[in-house]
Amino acid sequence: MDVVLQAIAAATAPGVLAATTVGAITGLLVSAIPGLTFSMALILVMPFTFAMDPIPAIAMLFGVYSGGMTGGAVSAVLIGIPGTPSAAATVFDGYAMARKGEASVALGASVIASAFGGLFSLVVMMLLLEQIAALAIRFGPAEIFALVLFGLSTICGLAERSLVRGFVAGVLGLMIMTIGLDEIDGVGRLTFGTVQLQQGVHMLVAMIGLFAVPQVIETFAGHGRPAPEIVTEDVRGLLPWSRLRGYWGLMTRASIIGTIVGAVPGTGGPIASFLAYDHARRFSRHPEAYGQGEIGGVVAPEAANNAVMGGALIPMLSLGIPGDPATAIILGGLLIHGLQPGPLLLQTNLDVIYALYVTVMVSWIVILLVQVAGIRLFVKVLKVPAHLLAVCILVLCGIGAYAARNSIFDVYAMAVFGLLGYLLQRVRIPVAPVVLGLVLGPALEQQYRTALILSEGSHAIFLESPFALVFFALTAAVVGWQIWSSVRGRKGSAEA
Amino acid sequence: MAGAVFALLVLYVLLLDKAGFVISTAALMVAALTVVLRIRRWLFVAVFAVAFSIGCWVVFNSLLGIPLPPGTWIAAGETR
Repeated sequence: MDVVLQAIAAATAPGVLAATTVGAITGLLVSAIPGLTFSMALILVMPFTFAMDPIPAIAMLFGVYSGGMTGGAVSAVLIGIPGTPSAAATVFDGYAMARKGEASVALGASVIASAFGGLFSLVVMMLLLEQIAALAIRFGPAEIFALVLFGLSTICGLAERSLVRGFVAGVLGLMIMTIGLDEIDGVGRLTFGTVQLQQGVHMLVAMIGLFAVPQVIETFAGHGRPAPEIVTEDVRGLLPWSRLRGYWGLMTRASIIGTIVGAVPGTGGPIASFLAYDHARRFSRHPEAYGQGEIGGVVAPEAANNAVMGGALIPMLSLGIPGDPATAIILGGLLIHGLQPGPLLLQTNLDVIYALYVTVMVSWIVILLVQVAGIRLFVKVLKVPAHLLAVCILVLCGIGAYAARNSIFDVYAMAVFGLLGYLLQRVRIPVAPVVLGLVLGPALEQQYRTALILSEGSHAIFLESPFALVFFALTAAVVGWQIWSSVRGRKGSAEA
Repeated sequence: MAGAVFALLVLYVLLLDKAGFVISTAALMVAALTVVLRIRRWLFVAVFAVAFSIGCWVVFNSLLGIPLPPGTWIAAGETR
């Protein structure tokens, strides 16, 4: 009980509250603007947290996460363009509602649903986290290796339509992380003889280059196109509780969908929101109303995509396996602040975990307040020209890359990664698995080599553990299923 | 477009090392807005670029305590 009270005190300290608030507002704003994803917000906020202690730093990151998952609905409703991919399903009925003059109701409903989904998954997470960690504490390096391998294979395999491209991306991420001095023997790898490369690639530098820079280029390229039309109703900050009567069951079911989807590594917000929308329509008493401005079509996807958050945190915190790309970035952030997510985290840093729970709850309160008090400001933000923001973001990229290790070389590296990210985009290789390779690479290698040291060089250690075998089997199943379904797909189109 | 951005980035980093954060960033922003995006409102661009660069310096260097490149030739604000 002591720990809990301490955590509550820690999480509500003024500095931490401020960090959470700033994070939530940043997340909301960035994800509300189409063309800026909240993954970018997470990446660019990280340099701000370098000088902070772990708890405020994590509070800020989670604030961004909560705000980011919620804000996408704003532009989905007002412009008809999702602010982030997770809000894509919200457009169908949200924009329709706006055109009927119900934009405020849609926005208010989406925030309530988002908070509901987020809190629901938080409770689930709180209940399950310790059980899973208790199980995982008995994992040795061989088991953790198999687990990390499974996590990598699911994101590479399940998240992207092309298995091959996903794996290329994941392996690329792994390769990038081998640059530098080898941790165990100090051997230089891929350093090309330069001193600077010996320090390896800083995860954040690569992330900034791969995620943010291509986005900036795309925004620049889109400059000059006509600005999208924003619904001009006088938007008020409502919390339309009465309109939601009868929808609480739907919200609960949508939250369950979201939590489960989030917990499965490799699937995330977009999938959850579409599944929830589909479910809502199927089980509704008037399915034909969907698409015309039915409030259930806003409430279900929004509850689901926010429930993904708690769900994704379950494997991330207890096992160190991120549930979706955004959680992978947060994982990177935790690593940078010296916290190693995984079963040990609950032993050594339980205070951080509890403080995290409280932080997430606080961020939802902040978001609800912002919605009520600040929604009009929001709408103004949508009108800021995107290219101006893009220039500012370019500067923040430079700052972020430099701040990681006080190294000008890192800023060059960021530019190189930016080029890489741009090229990957052109050949349609997805970037998210690269990030996953970056974040999980060191752990994968370390566990592998530690296992071999323990077994004195014998690979039998991987086959002796039942848990490890289970995860290897799951990995094979994921890969096999992907291969099978793509072969089937090709046969089908050949016959068609 | 992409080529221009990368060229600009490389030049930015080169300048960053020599002239320090504020000067290089202001230059980058002006260049990006006028050359790449072809915005002609010179006064607006100049004010925006300088204000943002100084603002970042204040927020990061002074408020957050995260050092930004001071520059080896021209050290603007190094002693501050």
